[in-house]
Amino acid sequence: MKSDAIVIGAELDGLIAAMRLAENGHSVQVLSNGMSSLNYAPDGIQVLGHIANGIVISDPFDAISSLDSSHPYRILGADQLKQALEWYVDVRKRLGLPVVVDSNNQQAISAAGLPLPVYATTEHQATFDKVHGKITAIIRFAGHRDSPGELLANGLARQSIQSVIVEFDSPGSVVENAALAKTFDTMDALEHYFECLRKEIPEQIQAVVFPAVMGLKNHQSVLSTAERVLGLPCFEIPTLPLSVPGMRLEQGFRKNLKEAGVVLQTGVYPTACSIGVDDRINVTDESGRNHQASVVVLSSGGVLMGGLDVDSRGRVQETAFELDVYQTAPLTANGPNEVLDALHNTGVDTDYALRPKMNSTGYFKNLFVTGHTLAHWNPSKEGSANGVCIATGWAAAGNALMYLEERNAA
Amino acid sequence: MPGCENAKRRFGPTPFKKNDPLAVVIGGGATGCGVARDLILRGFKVTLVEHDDLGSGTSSRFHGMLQSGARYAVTDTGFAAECMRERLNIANLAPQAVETCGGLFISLPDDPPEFADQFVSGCQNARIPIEEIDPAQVMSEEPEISRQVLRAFSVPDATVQSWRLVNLLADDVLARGGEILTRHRAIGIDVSTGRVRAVVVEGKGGKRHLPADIVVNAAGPWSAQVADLAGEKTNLELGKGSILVFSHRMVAKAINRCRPPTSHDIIVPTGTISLFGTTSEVVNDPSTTQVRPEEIQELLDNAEILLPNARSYRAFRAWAGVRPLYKPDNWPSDKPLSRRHSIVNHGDRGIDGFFTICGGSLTTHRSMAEDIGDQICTSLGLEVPCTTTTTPLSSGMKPLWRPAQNFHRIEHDKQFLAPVCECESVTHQDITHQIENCSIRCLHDLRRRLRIGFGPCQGTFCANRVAAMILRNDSQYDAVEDLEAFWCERLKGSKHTAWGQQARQILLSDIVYRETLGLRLDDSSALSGNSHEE
Repeated sequence: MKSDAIVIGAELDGLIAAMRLAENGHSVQVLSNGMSSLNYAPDGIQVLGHIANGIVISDPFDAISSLDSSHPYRILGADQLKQALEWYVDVRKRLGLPVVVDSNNQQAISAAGLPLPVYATTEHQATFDKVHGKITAIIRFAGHRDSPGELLANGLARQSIQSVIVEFDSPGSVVENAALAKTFDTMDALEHYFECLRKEIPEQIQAVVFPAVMGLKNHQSVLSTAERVLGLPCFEIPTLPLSVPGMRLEQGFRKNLKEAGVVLQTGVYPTACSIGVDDRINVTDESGRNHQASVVVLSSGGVLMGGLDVDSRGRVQETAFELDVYQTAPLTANGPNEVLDALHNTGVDTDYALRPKMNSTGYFKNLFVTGHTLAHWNPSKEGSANGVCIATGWAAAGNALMYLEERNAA
Repeated sequence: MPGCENAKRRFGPTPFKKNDPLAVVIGGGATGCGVARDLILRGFKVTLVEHDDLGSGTSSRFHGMLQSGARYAVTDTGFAAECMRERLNIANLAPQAVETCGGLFISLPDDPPEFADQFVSGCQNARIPIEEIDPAQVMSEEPEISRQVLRAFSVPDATVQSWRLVNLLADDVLARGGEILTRHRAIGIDVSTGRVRAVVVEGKGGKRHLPADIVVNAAGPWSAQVADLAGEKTNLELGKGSILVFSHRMVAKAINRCRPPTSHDIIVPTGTISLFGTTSEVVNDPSTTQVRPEEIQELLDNAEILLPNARSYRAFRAWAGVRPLYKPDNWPSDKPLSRRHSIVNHGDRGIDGFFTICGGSLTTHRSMAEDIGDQICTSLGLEVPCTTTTTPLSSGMKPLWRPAQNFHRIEHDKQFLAPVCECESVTHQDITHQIENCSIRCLHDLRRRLRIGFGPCQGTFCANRVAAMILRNDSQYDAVEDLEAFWCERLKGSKHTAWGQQARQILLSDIVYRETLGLRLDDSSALSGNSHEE
């Protein structure tokens, strides 16, 4: 199949690049293995929460200058990051999944009741500010393993937030994140369910937190119904993977991209790529099919999603184009921190326009690398998972647009 | 160790009479627990002291074999015969800790051809049942092994769940009125007028003075340090062995190369995993459990000879144990040390009542205990026979352990969401029992008793669930600190195998611990504790 652009991988950065390219009138195909780390991601937008030595960041843009000069944020600069975020916040509105941006990082509440610095939050995402000073009911669905209520209560107590665990019947027989969310989506007796719950909630309660499984498509109306019936503000706390808020976002993107005419192919594992006549890039997949485009955005993810692979001798390879990879040796790491750094920080080096090296002398003209496939950043340590994906996905699309424009002009 | 103050268990009241001899056993591995059980059955009042958790040293840091002795049939026939007897004794005594998978010895082109015949006669001399099998049959039954098997022999090797065995022995000691002090370190041995008088121990609650007529040093690789408390020396050579853990049962039986026992020549299926080992190097520090990266490559290179696809397997982690072997004075440096145990009666050197036992193996822990029990009784002029083979464990006889037995239970009850640890099929009920009835309130100790966190996800999904369960019972429990320590410890072992699927697993654990639970991995928690067991 031929198109103007190919995006490899359905990570957040790839979906963003695809959307921006399609918005500008280009034909786009997204080739992915069907997995996305969005399925693991908690709600909200994490841009930069921590820098070295665990220092907590309140203004992410201010702190960028203290990152290493090879970090993707430093390559793009704070201005591009800001523009990308502005565009993305608007996209979230269009996807029906709006976020609120505060002047500084908010502290979202983690599954264990600990603070997670976050740049933008969704309406019902629990933060310490939202439950500050409120006696909080923690709802636990009977038999639900992935919302550790006591850990949450323990964490809230550390921040002087009083809480009570309310164990309540699960709305469905399969007590698992995605199944619960789907049950809430289609529940007829929603009001009755929350009325029964209201009887279990003690008098003194001032806020309610649910595990983040309150619907996959209709969570906003499920949660407003809960607020109306219970007469209390209701928020969601992240669960262990799979993450329902991440799935909402992935589904939102897929729906929107399809409507924009983007071809989403899953179950595709690129095995070889070559530059053909006229600088067009050919991608061959595992089943021997050919895909051709004028530009390619490589958003195949890092080691976690299989865009990079570590072998038993500790060598890292980029799996689609066999691009040069920056790496330190994961197998000779001294401690837990070092091995995590090695696995996160490995990836592809690029120039200022996110183009990787083609050979020892030059850079690709029409291949752009984004997100976790890039080297020199550590989402878990920095609390920067979404921010880097948004900035690089947006910027890669921008650079690809420029290339396509010049090409058409020529 | 955080959250473990309650690990100290004391069952009373003691049934002892005032004049029963008092014995203090130092060391809570298989040897120490075996000795404690032997002595309590002979009428001693026994206190066992362990500086960490039960079975946290060499007893859990080996390849997990309950040896038929075939491995030593040529080089150490006497020890091989002892292993065979004890292999049967342990399977009779504690079948719930034993899996009778059977063992194979295979000759590959690199192995000395003349060894196979020596091996057969060695096994016959040691009374180990042995049968030669058609190599074609072996290669069809074991599809992962080399296609170049020249000869193959079947022997009755088995595997043992070492923590289960050690805890069964300890529970029996407790049930018979003994005392077990875990996380108590022996810091002094009082000797006066040529006799031991007491052992001074220190735990979180402070120091204790334990009066003793008999003190047994069963501290394994730490024996020299314990002997030193009484100003004594031991002749120990410490051998570190590293083991690589593969994710599946790659083989049906424990498979050895048919050659004189040496390094990296054995793969053992145990639980849901396989262990390949071991490297071997002499060390000075008994706490040396660091695996060097070169050892991993050495293990993989050798594993490939036995299992040609070894590098494509998923490996979970690697760890090392320190094996204490007795080295007599003036032993020639080129002669291999015997695996047989050795007992030192320090009475011969002027300290009556003080004994050190070292060497041996987990398989022979019971006969070792019998031997030292006999010597102790002789020294006191007592004639009390050993009854450890004829007295059943107080926990009673249960069926032989078999892989995935929990899963059969879950499937039978149709409780598919019941497992708290999916990898090892550990249920809510199992964990609640340990937390509520045994007061085990730290993730490491639950891991050793229940295997939580041993499977593919290495505690990524179960640890937070279990921490929440502990909090339900103990509001003082520091869940955040314990989770951080647990994750760090799991990462310490799995960093050695950060390739392929396991590299992905490590990053998924990072998403769970740091991005979802909000824990931080600061350098202090990364550096605390040095254990990385199975």
